[in-house]
Formats: sequence, structure tokens, C-alpha cells
Amino acid sequence: MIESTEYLLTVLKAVIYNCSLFSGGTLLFLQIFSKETSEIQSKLYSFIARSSLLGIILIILNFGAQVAWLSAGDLGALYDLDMLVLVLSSSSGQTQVFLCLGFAGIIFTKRINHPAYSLLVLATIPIAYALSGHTGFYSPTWLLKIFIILHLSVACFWIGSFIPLLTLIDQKTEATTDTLERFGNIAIFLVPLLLASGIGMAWLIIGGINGLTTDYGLMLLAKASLVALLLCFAALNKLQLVPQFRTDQTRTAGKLKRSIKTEIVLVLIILIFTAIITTVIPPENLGHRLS
Amino acid sequence: MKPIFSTLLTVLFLIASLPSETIAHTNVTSTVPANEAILKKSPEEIRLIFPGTLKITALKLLDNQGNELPLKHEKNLTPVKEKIAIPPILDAGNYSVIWRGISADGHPIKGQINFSVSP
Repeated sequence: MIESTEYLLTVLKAVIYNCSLFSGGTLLFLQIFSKETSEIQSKLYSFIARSSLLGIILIILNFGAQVAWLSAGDLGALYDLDMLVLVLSSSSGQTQVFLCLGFAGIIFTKRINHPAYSLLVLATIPIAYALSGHTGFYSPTWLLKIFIILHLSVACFWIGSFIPLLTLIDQKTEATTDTLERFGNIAIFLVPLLLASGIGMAWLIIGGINGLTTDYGLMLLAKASLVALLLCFAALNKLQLVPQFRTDQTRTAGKLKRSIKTEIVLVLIILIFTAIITTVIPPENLGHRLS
Repeated sequence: MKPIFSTLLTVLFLIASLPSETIAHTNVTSTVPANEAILKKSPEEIRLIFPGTLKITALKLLDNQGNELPLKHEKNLTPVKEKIAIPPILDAGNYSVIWRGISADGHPIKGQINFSVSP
């Protein structure tokens, strides 16, 4: 039986994932494409700040939901100091504190406009997720931690491109096409890294082909199918729409924007699947690995 | 860009060298009554034995309609390897015991056993 608090935790986690990847990723995009985004910087910083603020609010709500879950629905536990300290000191509590600090740091990146500071706060996102979760349960843990950090860093880069690219396409300048092409050229090297780290993580966690038939494995397969679909849209953009955009911006801008918006929707669904995998389906369901 | 990538690599190695958190969730070793047991009479106690220490944050006895029944046990967050609770005298029917806790490695865990008391 899935309790209502588990549904709430899943939804909150999915939105927190989105906030993490969109605010962190957009900041990363601003750092890598600082010249190309000079005219839309304030717009993007505003988006980053709002997304990070939402992240902080949701982390606080998530903290309360975790307390409620741990007390099996007893809301009185929200006023129990011992319980609050216990949740804060748990691995997921520490992750949330770390992530919260990261979000707070990201909000100030516009004021403290220094690449080293931006990099520091950006690093908190993959590190926060590496501190807890299923990657800590299996061995070699050090390899799983490298995989999750690589996976999230590349995901951040990819997802973080959506809002800046949509904003740039609206401008329809020559620099937009150059940015789109440059982004595509970098992505071609990074996407295989995203896939390799994802497959590596999945393999080590599920423990081989047998694990694919478990609930966890089936959810992973569903997630992988959505990622494959996402890759199709990315390929469509790079191979067809971006070259068309260079020759006919007016007619292609709409198609390109629709394609990127579809990618955003797919990412939202993928992150919901990820939240389900990391919340509702516990590692006990991988009985063949733990017994 | 070079300093960015070298810093990223350093961060990666630092994280990779963090100590391992755990090898698995803390599962229950044995329970009294056993999961899916059919008892001839109401159990005198409910006993949960864990392979490692665990801070129990919630322990509830529910009837087949999900109503919570009183369960006497020490309500504190001291780490335990064994948790004993005294149920009321149970009529014939199906019951569940659910628990939540935080394992020694700091991970939230949950568990449930179901049993029946035969008429």
C-alpha cells in the first residue's frame, strides 16, 4: 500500500529535481555561454532565482512530509524536537540541507558574479544527490558516486539549455544560430557520457539482466524509453531544425521552440519516474541483490 | 574553461573518496508473529528483531480496515536491535504491524508484517 505521504514525497521530490536541474543547469549555461547570453542575462538570472526559491520552499515542505512519513502519518511529530533533529541528521536530511544551501547560493550568483563562486554553488547540486540515495547501497560505491555526479552534471547542462535557448530563439539573431550549433557540438560529446553513466549506475544497482524484471528494473526501462525519445528530439534539433534555422529563422523558430518545449515535457515526466524510483520503490524490491 | 574542468575533476575525486554510506537498507531479521502467520489465539507480544540497530520512529498495529489499535511499547528514539510491543487481546481477523525508522547509517526505512488470528 502506498501511503498518501509517499505520493506527496514523490511529487515534492520530482519538483525539487526540476528546480535543481533547471536552476543549476541554466546557471551552468550562463557560465559556458556568457558572451552569447549577455543580452538575456538578467532574464535568466531572474528565472534561476525564482526556481531556486521554489526549490527552498519545497525542501522545507519535503522536510515536513518526511517527518510525517517517519511517524507513519502522526502529524504531532512535526512539533517533536527529537524527531525533527533525527530527520535533519538522516542522510536524506543532510542532502536537503546541502541542497538548500546550494539553492541559496545560486540565488546570490547574480550579485557575486564570479565563475569560481558559480562553480562552487553548482557543484552542490550533484554532490547533494551523491550524498544519499540508492547509489550508497551498492558497491563499488565510489564508482556509483562518480556515475551519479557525471550523470547529474551532464543532465544539468542539457536541461539548463532549454530556457536560455528558447529565449535566444525569440531574439532571432545571428548569434542564436551560433549558440545553438555550439551547444549541439558540446552535447554530442556529453550525451554519451550521460548514457554511459546512467547505464553503469543502473547495471550496478539492479545487478544484471535479472534485475530488469523487478519493479525497480521495469521503472528504469520505462525511464530509459523516455530518454530514448528525448534523444530523438535532440537529434531532430541538431540535424534538421538548427541547420534550417540558419537559413530560414522565421519559419523554423516555431518548430524549434515546439521541439524544445516537448523536450521540457519529456524531462518533467522522466524526473517524475526518477522520483518514483527513488521514493516509492525501495531497494528491498531488489530482493535478488540484498538477500 | 580549463580551470573549470580541473576543479570539476577534483570535486569528483573528493566525492568518490567519501566513505561508503551503507551496503543495504536494514531489513528485519525475524518477527513474532512471523509475516503471514495464522495464529490460533491473540499474540501476547509483537517482537521485531533487526540485523542492526535502528531508531524506531513509528510502530502501529492496524486491523483489516486500517484502524489503529493501541500498542504498548517504549516510545523513544534510542537505537534498538529488538523492539517489543504488547497488543490488546485481538479478536479473530487480519492485522498488520507497520513500522518506520532510521537505520544506523541514517537511512529512512519502513517495514510491515501481516498476520491473522483464526476464529
